Amino acid sequence: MTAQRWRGISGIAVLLAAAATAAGARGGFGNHGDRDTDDRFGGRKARNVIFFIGDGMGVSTVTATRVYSVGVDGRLVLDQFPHTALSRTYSADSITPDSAPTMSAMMTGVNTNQSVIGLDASTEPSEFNADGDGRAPWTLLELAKQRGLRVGAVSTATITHATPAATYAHINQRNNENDIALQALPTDATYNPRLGRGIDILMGGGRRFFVPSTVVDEEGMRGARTDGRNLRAEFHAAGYNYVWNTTGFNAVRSLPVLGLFESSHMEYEFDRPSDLGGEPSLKDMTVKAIQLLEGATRRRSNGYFLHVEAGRIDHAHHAGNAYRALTDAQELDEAIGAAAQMVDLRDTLIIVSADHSHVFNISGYPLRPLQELPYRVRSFSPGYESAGSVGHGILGVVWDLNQSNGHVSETTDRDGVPYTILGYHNGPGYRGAPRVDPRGDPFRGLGGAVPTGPSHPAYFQEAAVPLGSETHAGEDVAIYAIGPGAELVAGTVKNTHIFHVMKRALGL
Amino acid sequence: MRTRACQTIVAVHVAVLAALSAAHAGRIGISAAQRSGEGSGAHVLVLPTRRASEAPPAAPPALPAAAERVTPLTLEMVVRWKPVAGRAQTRQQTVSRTADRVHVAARHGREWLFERNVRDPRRVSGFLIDHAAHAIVAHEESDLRMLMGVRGWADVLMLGFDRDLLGDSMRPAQTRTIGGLRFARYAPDRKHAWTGELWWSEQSVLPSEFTIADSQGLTRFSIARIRAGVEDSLLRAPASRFPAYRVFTVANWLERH
Repeated sequence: MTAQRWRGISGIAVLLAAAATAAGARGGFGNHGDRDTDDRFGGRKARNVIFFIGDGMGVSTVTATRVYSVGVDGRLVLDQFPHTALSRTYSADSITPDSAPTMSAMMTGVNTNQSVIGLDASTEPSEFNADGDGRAPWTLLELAKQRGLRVGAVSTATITHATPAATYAHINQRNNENDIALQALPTDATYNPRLGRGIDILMGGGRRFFVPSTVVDEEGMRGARTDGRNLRAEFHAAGYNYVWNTTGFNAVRSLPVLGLFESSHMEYEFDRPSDLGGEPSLKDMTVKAIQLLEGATRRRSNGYFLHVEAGRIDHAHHAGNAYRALTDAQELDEAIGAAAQMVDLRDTLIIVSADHSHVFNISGYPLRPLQELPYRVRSFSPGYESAGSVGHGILGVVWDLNQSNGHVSETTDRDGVPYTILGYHNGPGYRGAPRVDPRGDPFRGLGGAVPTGPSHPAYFQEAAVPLGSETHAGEDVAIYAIGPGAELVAGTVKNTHIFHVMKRALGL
Repeated sequence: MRTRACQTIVAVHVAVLAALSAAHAGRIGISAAQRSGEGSGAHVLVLPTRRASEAPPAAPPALPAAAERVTPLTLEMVVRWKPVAGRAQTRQQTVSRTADRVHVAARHGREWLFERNVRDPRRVSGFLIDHAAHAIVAHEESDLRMLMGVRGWADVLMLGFDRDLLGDSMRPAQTRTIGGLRFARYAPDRKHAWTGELWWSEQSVLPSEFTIADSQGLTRFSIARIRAGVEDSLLRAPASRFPAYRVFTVANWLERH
C-alpha cells in the first residue's frame, strides 16, 4: 500500500476493512487445505500471545543448534513444547520464499509475493506493473491493537526489516525501510491508522532509517533518511521513550518505547560484547518487553501480543558462517526460555517458528565425541579426543569408526581430505581450489580473517555452488507451541495457519 | 572458552522456576502451569545449561600517534595475485587516504569508502558502491569484521597490514623513497604472517609493499606512485554522490544477491 493510500484510511473505513478482512480470513487466500475453519476456539482462550521467529531457522539449524548448545541428547527449550507442526513456507510467486511474504502470511493469514509486506497476492514487488497495490489484510498485531491489547515487536534485525515490519506495515517493497519507519510513526501522514495510538514497543536495530543521511548518530554512524527528518525526535514528540544503548534500555520503565540499538542490524550475539554503545541481547529485550507489557496490561489493558525475532540467524547463513547462525539461534532459545519462565502458561500462548529455511546441511555420519560414546573404542587418530570441546563437535570435521578394528579416524572425501559436518549447498564458502583439510584451511571467506579451524568464528563452511550469498531453502519449517490454543498446531499446514491459531487464541 | 561451559543439561527445579517467575511481576510461571496441568498439560520445561561461546571479538586495535597526523594522499597501487594454479593476475587500484576516510576505486566498477568512527576513533564502517547494480551497501563495523576481517580503523588506514606484526626487535635493513615518503625495508620473518619483502613508513603508518598468502595463492600489494592530496568528492557520502542509487544494509544485499 502506498503512502497516499494510507492517508485515505481512517475511522469507519478502518472498521469496514476489519470486517472484510475477518470474513476473508475464513474463505480467502491462504486457507486451502488447512484447518483454519476449525471452530474449536470460538471464544478467547489466551490473554497473551508471544510469537517468536528464528529468521531462516530451518530444521537443520535447530538440530545443529541443539547439538552445539546442549548436546545431541539435550533438549532446547523449544524442543520441549508439546505441540509441533510442519509449516509450508512457499510464497504466492515462489517455491522458496523470502521473509516478507512468509511473515506477512503468518501475520495476516494471506499468502503473498516475494518482497511484499502486508499486501495480498495481487500486489507485485515494487509495483512494477503500475496497476496499484492489492488489498491490505489486517495483521494480528493490528487486530490485537484494535481490540485494546498492548502490542510490541522486537528484533535483532532492523525494526523496519521484513519480519518485524510485517507486523505493522503494508508496502510493496521490503527494502523501502525509510517508508516503513513512517508507517509506525503516529504523527506522520503515512501512519498506519490501524495501529491506533501506536505500537507500544518497538525494539531492535535500524536507527539509520530514523536519522537523516547528513547526521551522525549516537554511535558515529551516518543516517539513511534522504528526507532530512529525525524520526527519533518525532517519535519522542509522539510520546515514545527513545533509547539507544544499554543504559537507556535498563532505565526504561514505561510504554511506549522505541529502542534502536544499532545503526543497521543489531550485533550478532557473538559480536555483541564489542558494541560501542552497548546493546541488550535478544533475551534482555524479550524480558524487558514482557515486563513492560505485563505491567501495563495488569493495570489498564487486557493482554498483549508480542513478536520477537532472532533476525540474524538468517544473515549469518547468508554469509556462510554457521558459527554465528548457531550462537544467534541459541540466544533465541534463551529468550524463549526466559519468556516461558515469566508468563503464566495457562493464559499465554507461545509459538515459535521460522519464516523459511536455508541450504544448510548436517552431512556425513559423524561419530559423537569420545566422551559421549556408549562404548570404548580401541584407538583413535589425534584430535578426536578433543573433537567435542566446541559445540559437542558439531562445528568440526566428520569422524567415523572402523567397525572392524574399533579405530576412529577422520572421514575423508574421495581424494582423502577430511570434511566438516556442517556445510552449505551454495554461497561464499565455495573454495574454487582443490579441497584441503578444514583444520588447516586458511580460506578467508568473503575476504575475511583466516580462521584457526572449522570451529573458529571466522570459519566459513564450504559450499558446493559459488554464490556471493548463500540462499534460502524451500523445505518446510517447524512450528512449536505451548499454552492455550497450542493444540491447533499439528500436522502439516501452510504458514498462514499460524495467524489463525493466534487469532483464535486471542478471540480476535 | 568461558567458564559456563558444561556438557550436561541441568534441570532447574520447579521451585526455582516458581521463585524466578514470582520475581517477575509476581505472576504465575511455568511451574504453576505444570502443577495445575492446565494449558501446557503435564509437560515439564527444563531450562538447559548452555555451552559457552568463544571469547568475543577483541577490541579494535589501538592506533599509533602518527595515525592522527597522516596527510591526505593518493596512492596508485598494484595488486598482483598469483593463484596456486593458473596464471598470475595484476590489477591497479587508486586509494585516497586521509586521517578519517579511505576511498578505494576497486575493480569491476566498484568503489569502497571507509569512514572512521567519530565517537570511537578506533572503529570503522564502510560503503560498497556497486555501479553496475546502482547500489550502495552500508557495512557496519561487525560486517567488516566478519566479512572482510577488518578489525578497526587501523586495518583500513594501513591498507590491511597489521603494524603489530613488525615487532620491537626487527631492524629495518634499508630505505627507499616514494613520493617524498621514506619507507624502511623489513626482511621476511617466519614467525609472522607476511612473506616476501615488507616496506613500511612509520611516519605515515603506511606500507608500500607487502605480500600475504592464503590457500588460493599469494597476493602482493605495492604502491607505484604517491601524490599529495585527494579528490575531495570521492570522500563525500556515497548517497549524496549517487542519489539515484539504492542503499542497502549488508544483510538486505546478501538476501537477494
